[in-house]
Amino acid sequence: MGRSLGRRIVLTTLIAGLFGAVAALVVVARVSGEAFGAQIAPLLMERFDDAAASSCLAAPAAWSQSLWPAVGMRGYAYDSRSHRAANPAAPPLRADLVAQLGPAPEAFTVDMRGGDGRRAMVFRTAARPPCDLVQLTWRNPTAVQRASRVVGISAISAALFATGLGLFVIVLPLVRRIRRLGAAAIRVGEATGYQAVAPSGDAGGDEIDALGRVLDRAHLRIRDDARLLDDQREALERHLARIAHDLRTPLTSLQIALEFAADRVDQPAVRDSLTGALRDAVYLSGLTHNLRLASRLRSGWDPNHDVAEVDLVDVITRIVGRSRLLARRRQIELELSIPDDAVRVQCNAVAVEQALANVVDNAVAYGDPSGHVAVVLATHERGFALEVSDDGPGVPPASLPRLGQATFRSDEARQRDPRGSGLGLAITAEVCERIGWTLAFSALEPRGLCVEIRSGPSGHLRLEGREIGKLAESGTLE
Amino acid sequence: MTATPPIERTRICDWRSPARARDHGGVVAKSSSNVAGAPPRVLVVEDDPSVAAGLVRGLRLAGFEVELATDGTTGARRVLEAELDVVLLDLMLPARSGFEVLELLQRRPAVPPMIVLSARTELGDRLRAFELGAVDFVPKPFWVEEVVARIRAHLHAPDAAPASRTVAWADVVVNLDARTVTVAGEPIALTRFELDLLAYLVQRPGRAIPRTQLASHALGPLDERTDRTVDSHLARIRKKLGPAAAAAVATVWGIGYRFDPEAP
Repeated sequence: MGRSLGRRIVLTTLIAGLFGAVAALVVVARVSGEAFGAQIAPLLMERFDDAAASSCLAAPAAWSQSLWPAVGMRGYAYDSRSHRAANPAAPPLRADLVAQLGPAPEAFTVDMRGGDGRRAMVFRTAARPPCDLVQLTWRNPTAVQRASRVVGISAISAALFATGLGLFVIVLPLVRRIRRLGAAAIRVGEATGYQAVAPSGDAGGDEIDALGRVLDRAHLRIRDDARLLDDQREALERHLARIAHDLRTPLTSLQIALEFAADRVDQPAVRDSLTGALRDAVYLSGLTHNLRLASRLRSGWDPNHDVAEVDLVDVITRIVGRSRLLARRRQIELELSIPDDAVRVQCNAVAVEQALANVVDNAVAYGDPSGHVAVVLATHERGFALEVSDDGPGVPPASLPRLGQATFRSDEARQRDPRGSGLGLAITAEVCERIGWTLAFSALEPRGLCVEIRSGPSGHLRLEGREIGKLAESGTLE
Repeated sequence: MTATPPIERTRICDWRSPARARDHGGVVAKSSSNVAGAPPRVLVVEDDPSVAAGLVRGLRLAGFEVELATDGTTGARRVLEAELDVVLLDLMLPARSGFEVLELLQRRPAVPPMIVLSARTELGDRLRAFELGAVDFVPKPFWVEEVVARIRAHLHAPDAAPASRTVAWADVVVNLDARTVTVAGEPIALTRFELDLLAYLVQRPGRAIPRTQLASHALGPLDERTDRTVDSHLARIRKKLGPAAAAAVATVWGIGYRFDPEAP
């Protein structure tokens, strides 16, 4: 890796830290200078001993004392009452220091900053006036002061500059690159819209570039896999469509032959056998349509596409018409009730016809021989309701909520007839859900199942079972 | 095949091509059934031998005169040459596809109704067939019985003339305008509710009518006694019509009642 992001961050941090440390040292030095002044003050005061006091009192007009020649430190005595010095060469007494001076006999104040370029200290002595106040003055070490000021300002400026530089040169570009990574990560694997984030043809790069290359490679791999899956899914769909198509013609031939034979056989055993074969043919026919539709639904196909205006009266009439032959062979009375007027809905005709056919075919195929199936299409204020009722074995109430789930068949149903996987009702449920219809199952009394499909939001469903039960009790069934 | 199921509605499909509907309304196709007593002639254009044989056999048994063409070119030629009542057309045919046949015949006058029978069941195929003039689309696999029902539905298109306002069966005559009912020529007394119920039923022969529908149209607002009320009114109507005529008013399991004047 040519450029290391970690190295650059460490370098920038070191530079900023160095300048920051210098600035901190300057500040500390200035603060510690004041502390130093406070510490040397008692030592300086000790230099004004009894001999110095006597000398001052003896000739106050000429008294002064040199303490630290290197910095020009010299002391003069003052009268604490008049704040004047007897020695005419003495500088004026610093009023600000005197004002801060306490009343204690050895009180002192010191100014180590020397705002006017000179530093000063004032302290009380044990001598009597005019020698009871002493002011020491000395030169400020200007070069040091300037140097420290320049260094301090430079260090602070450099620290600020280094911080800003780091912000603009490293942090903000980093943020921008990380945002690009985030934006790219969102579209990883998409067929369009992904933009490569790693620099092209650059062998070097930092950790983010490396991460970008990983992301780009992941995108390519996922996109290729997705394409492969799409291709495989499309191939599977085409394959299923071909199988379904190829099966329909022989199934037609089979159905026609069975239909012909079943119409002309008198022996009950043969007739029953042909009826079973007819039922299987119907099952296979439904399976070819269901497999194709299931494959399309699984691949994300939306039944709300390719919609057209469809008259449900015609659709349900066709479905019941197709089911009549098997119903008659099974001696099931299949009845249809339709409204006077067309029931027009916007839907995908093929998907809806198969979804509704699954319900009717199930009722006819799994109903009791010599039973009844009633298909009622009615309109109501919010749309339509289609009810398919039968007096067959029905479904235990505990299993009703699971009807329509993929591959669900009740144990009782499997025991009665092992054929069927529940695919038909699952497709019906999915198509209804996708196009906004409601599907409900209810048990009928004394036996049977009612499947109700309604358009629009689910409303209060009539208890058709109770009504049919009442019919049975009233003895009007014939 | 000796029996066919009743057809609930003669209007089979709303996808019927408007162009085709105009053709049928304006130009009379060369129809063998224009000759009184002649069996309807059906051309089957199907290349699969098993399906074709079964279909031809089933249609002949149902009383049709059937001709078979096993490729699209022959089928199109026979449509133009022969006097036909209905054409059953497969889509995937040798020589000329079903779509090409439809396209060829689309602008020809006096073309008989074309019913498509196909294993191609996608919506696009159906819509294209209707756009090219097919009157119906029967997806494979199908039953011969279903095909027969569809042919008959197209042969007996609804009459444009207003329906008769008198309904007669057995020895009963219901005059819907005069609101009178006679049995064997003698008027019988029905209450207003009974007459409304009977009139509603006899105007929809062969159709199962739910009790709730009968009640809402004949009795007004529904209440909890709807089923019982309808049942008791129908029981009295049957009694007044007599056993022979009452058989035409059948109870339908799970639905309500059906008026079937041809019931034994």
